[in-house]
Amino acid sequence: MNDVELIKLEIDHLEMVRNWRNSLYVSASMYSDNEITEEQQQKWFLKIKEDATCKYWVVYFKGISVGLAYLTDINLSFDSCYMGFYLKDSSVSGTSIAAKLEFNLLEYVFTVLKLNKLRCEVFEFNKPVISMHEKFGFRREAFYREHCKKNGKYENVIGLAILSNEWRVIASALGTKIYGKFFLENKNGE
Amino acid sequence: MENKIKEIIVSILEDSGNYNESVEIEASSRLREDLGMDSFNLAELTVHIEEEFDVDIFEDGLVNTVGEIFAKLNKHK
Repeated sequence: MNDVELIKLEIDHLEMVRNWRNSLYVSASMYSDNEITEEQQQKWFLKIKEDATCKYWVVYFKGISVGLAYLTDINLSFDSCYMGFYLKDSSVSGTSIAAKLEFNLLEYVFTVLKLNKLRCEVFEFNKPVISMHEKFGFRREAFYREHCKKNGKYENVIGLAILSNEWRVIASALGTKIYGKFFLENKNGE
Repeated sequence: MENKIKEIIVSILEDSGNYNESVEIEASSRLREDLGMDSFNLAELTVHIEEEFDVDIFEDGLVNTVGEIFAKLNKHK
């Protein structure tokens, strides 16, 4: 059923991911858009590899690498974490991948990690992404004024979050909407 | 078949509150830019079409317009 696969980020992925991250397409929606060097990327990877508070995956769709997904600030006292992901370019963003990826991340956070709260932050100008998070049950919890400077201009950021009990209420219906009968068959086969 | 596809698109857009009656759905309509479908809508569209016609429209590459959906379904006839 699941054509979206998350593969743990490994050293062999780094150059591919660095190229994606340095592209205008991806950096436009990230807090930092400084060019990342090969050395910085290696150092970052060595740091996150040993860090239990984050997880990074390369996203594969039908066997092809299409983006990066991550959980950060995994806090076992608060039972919460942040989610983020990006797709490598517009050729894959114009598909159903983002919705399926978001579904998979939510399931992982609430079913596998059994956390209570999943958070994310999105630029206020990125309305399609905010709208999609809201379709998955995220609610707006914060408004960070002039939170980040992009292209010489301070931009507002929206903080969104969803709780485990809220996800459990809508997960099956959303799964059926985006995976259809395959989702039901998979659920029934459990 | 073409009318069925248009019906499916309208019902998905209506469901998500994105339906704009003044926008005509034509073969040349772009799913995202012209009809306002997002990734979630496209996933739903794939499911509905697969249930109706047993064809995965994203199986062998991207689909940008309504006409491209018609073409994929015609290919599988």
